Amino acid sequence: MKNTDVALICGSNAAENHPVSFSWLSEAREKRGAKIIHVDPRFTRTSARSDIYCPIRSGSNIIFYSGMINYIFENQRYHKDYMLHYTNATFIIKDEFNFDDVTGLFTGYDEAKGAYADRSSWDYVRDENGDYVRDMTLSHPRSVYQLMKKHYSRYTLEKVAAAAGAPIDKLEQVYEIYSSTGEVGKAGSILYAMGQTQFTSGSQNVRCMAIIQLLLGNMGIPGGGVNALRGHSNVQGSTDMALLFHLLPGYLPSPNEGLGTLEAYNATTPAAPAWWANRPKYIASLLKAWWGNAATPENEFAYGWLPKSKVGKNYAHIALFEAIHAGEIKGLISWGQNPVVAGPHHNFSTKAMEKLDWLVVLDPFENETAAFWKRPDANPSDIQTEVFLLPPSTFLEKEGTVTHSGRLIQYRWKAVDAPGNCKHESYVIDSLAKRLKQLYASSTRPEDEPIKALTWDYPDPDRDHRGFIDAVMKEINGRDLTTGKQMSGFAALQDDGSTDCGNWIYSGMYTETHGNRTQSRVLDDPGGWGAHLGWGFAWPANRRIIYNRASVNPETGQPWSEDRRYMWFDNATNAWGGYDIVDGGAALKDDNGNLNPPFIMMTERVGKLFSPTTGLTDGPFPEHYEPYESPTDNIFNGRQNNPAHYSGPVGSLDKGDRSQYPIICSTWRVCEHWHTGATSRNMPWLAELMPASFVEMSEELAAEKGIKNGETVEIFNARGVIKAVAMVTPRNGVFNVNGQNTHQVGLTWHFGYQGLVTGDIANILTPHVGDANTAIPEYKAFLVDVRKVNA
Amino acid sequence: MTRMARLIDITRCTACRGCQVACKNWNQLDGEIGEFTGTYQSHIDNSPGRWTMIKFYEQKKPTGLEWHFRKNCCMHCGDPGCVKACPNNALKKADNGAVIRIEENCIGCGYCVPHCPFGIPKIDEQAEKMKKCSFCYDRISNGMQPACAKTCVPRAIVYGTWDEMAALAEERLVQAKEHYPNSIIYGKDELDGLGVIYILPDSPDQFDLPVNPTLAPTLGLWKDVVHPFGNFVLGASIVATGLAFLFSRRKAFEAKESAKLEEGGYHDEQKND
Repeated sequence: MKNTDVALICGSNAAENHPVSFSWLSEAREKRGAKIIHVDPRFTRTSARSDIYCPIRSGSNIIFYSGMINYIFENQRYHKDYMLHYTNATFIIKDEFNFDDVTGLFTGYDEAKGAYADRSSWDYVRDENGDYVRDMTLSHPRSVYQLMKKHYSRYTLEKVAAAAGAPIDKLEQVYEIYSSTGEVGKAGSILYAMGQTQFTSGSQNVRCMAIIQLLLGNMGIPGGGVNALRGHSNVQGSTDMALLFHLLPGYLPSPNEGLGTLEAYNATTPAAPAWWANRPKYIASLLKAWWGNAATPENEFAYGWLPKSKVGKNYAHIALFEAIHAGEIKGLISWGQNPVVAGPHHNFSTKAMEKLDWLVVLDPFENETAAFWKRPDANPSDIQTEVFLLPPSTFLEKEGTVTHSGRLIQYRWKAVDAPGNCKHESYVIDSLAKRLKQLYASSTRPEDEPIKALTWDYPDPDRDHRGFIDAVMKEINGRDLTTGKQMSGFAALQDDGSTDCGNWIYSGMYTETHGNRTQSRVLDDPGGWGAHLGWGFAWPANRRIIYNRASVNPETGQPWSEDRRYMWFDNATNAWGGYDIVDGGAALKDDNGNLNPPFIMMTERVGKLFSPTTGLTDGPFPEHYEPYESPTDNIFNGRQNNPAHYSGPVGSLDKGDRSQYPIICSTWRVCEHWHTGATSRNMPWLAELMPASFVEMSEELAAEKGIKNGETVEIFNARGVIKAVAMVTPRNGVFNVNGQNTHQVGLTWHFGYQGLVTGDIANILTPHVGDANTAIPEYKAFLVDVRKVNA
Repeated sequence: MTRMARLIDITRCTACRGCQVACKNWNQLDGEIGEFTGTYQSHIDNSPGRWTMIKFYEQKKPTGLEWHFRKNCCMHCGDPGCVKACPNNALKKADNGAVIRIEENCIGCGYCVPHCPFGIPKIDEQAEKMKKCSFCYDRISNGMQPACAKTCVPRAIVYGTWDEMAALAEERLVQAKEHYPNSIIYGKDELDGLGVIYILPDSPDQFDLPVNPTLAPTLGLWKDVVHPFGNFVLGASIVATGLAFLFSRRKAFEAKESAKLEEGGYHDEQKND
């Protein structure tokens, strides 16, 4: 990020919540005169330190970005050669594909199912050989380029300003400056976080950024990138290791009952030349890691023992709490989480928990989840849940790796012992596994085989915590089972059972030659781009910028600009040189003289402006839909809400109308507190920084309601009512949305009823709906009203 | 020993409060959980247990809204008013520039309080001591940075020799002016140079800082003239009183002796003494 010329922060409060990331932007400003742009409903500490601030109302991300896409097309700000050769702009799309702005739907929608059941029209035209058909002149009306240009032509500057409630001059200034990075040699970086993702169209919000960065040629170059600032110190590690229901480690899909055999599973493998075509090697190696010698070619490496989800069933957070409500789930382990404070629609979700037979909570403090049975308005004598609170050691008291937003895996050493009876989580998981195995050891039931056969031969973590971590890391890296040696990387993994690997993308982090590379702390930085290849290990293969072959001119193999000399192809040696690990070792061109394109994970091997059938479930192009609860109508198409968004069947019915609740509300974080405040509200040095839950509101709204700064107010909607202290500030404004003055308020979600400082739970107000693809709850835009508390 | 200083460039500060917590951490000061102050600012001011804090300034300007954050702590002045005011030698200017307290000499009298142009000294009524930022004297005397400078991620707080910080201030001023044309350096010339040199985006009075900080003209008078003179006078008075007593005793004795000789009743008076 220090290499950027323009940084756009949208859907993030980087200076507050990711201060280190912001300090690199600061360095870019200091050393290269970079500009920092902040687009956000509130004027935050990020806005205070940015060069340009543009307000937009919460829920208008796709409006804002679509306006930028339109601006880029109208003013031809794209990096033309990059677009021609490294994206699917030139690809021809099937005639059957269409978007109807009257209905607001793409082709293939099933109203009864609430989903795009048939996405076959979202696809490329093929020639008689099965190859893509392309028009390099970009004039074919069915080319992605022309389809996009038409699709985004509706997002004019005037309409965008009106619908987003943004000042039109600021909007244009932002578009002009950011799109200047389309110029060859310039780099633009987009930083985002939950302000992009936590919407019913969150995934499409993210697609917008990918599209813009591809149009401007900002992918694969230093200072470019779509830079997710992850919401938790090791959430990257957790998603890499698949603590998500739909994945297996390394972003392999987790199977449903429809894929009963390994053969069926492997039949869904993306076709070569996509790098994903290697997937069968990764699943076989994963199964070998888990079941060792019990996983054989004969039994499909024990694929049958993998739990299978029900076809079409969702197991995301909202779905889990709906299932608890429905009595389907009787026990819950809440491990390093505080869903009572962090989950949406608190009243529905926490009431549902009263039906649980048992609850296990792992947290250094008795958090709100552990104390749910004695929360305000609970009647403990009515609740039969047996609650176990296990005290784990915290991040300074244990060791292991953390993976950050840059995919960098860094080992951390234990600094101090945990107090009292606190135990490492490695002890807890090890004990759980061993006891389960013991419990089922003499069982003859087929369903108990997976647990019986699970390999679990690590050192005892209670006696040798470091040794346990070390053994697990070695397994995650993977081994050649014929020699017992550590794999040097995933390229050598096999599908025949001769290798094991707990996570293919981490393979290479612990090798015979280098040992545990996540512990490496070499500062050298040849080229000065900040690659620091000797510091930690970045997946995949220690590559720091992915798709870095897109940083060269496809004709010459030389960097697009000598100002950004990062990777290059040497025709004499037929090899790549540069300051990073080249992304895909293939030569610049194949034997027929055709380019080997750089986006190696995709079947198309180019970046996708149009996302076809196998991409997102709610459309090949991002399209604006209003949040589930919105103060205004969708002016861009005839469909108010995302037609495929996820709705908790019962909880989503608690929906408010703008006639009763006209104010937009959002939830967000601050630097001083951590997530649900389970740790920070128990630490005096942090608790004293922000001792009260406050609701930010504009001076105009406060005047309308007769509210004074510091006064306790109630914020209420269809799902509940909370109190907070009013923070009346000019940093919140009024939005003129489609001609209507619209207020927006917001609060942190850091407060709960436990700890040294307490406050009402903000998630009492948030809805039980989520993104069409991920089901991430729409925490960022919903409706409320505000009133003074009657004395 | 070279004079050391901190540069505090508030155009870089993001008000993360890392410095506020690092100071508490290093000095093992207790948290003081209070009430909502109306803004993000944690408390109204420093306290005996809070030696630094960030003060928040929302400013509506013709060019747009601005929000600035100033770290408030002892300036370790070149000409420290507190040192002059202290009647008990509980404050001194160390060779490395730190204005440090001599704990055992402090009686918590509060004389330093009105003589600091920046309102820094705070009296701990219970302990009867004044408390303030020590410039992490223990750290800097051992070649380490102050805790606040060490933790500052955006390098808004920088530590080095006074000359280095003064030079860096000039560089930072150029960058600050790009966004805030009225930016100034505060602390290079004031009070023989402050141990904290600020980059401010605008005039000091907008950030609760005195535009031209001066010490009371009588302050030097007190410490350098009146106080020593007073001591002298006190000493002289004691001596004079003693002498006067001796002289008056002799005179009374002589008077008595004269009276006795006149009356002739010498023996009777002796018995009654």
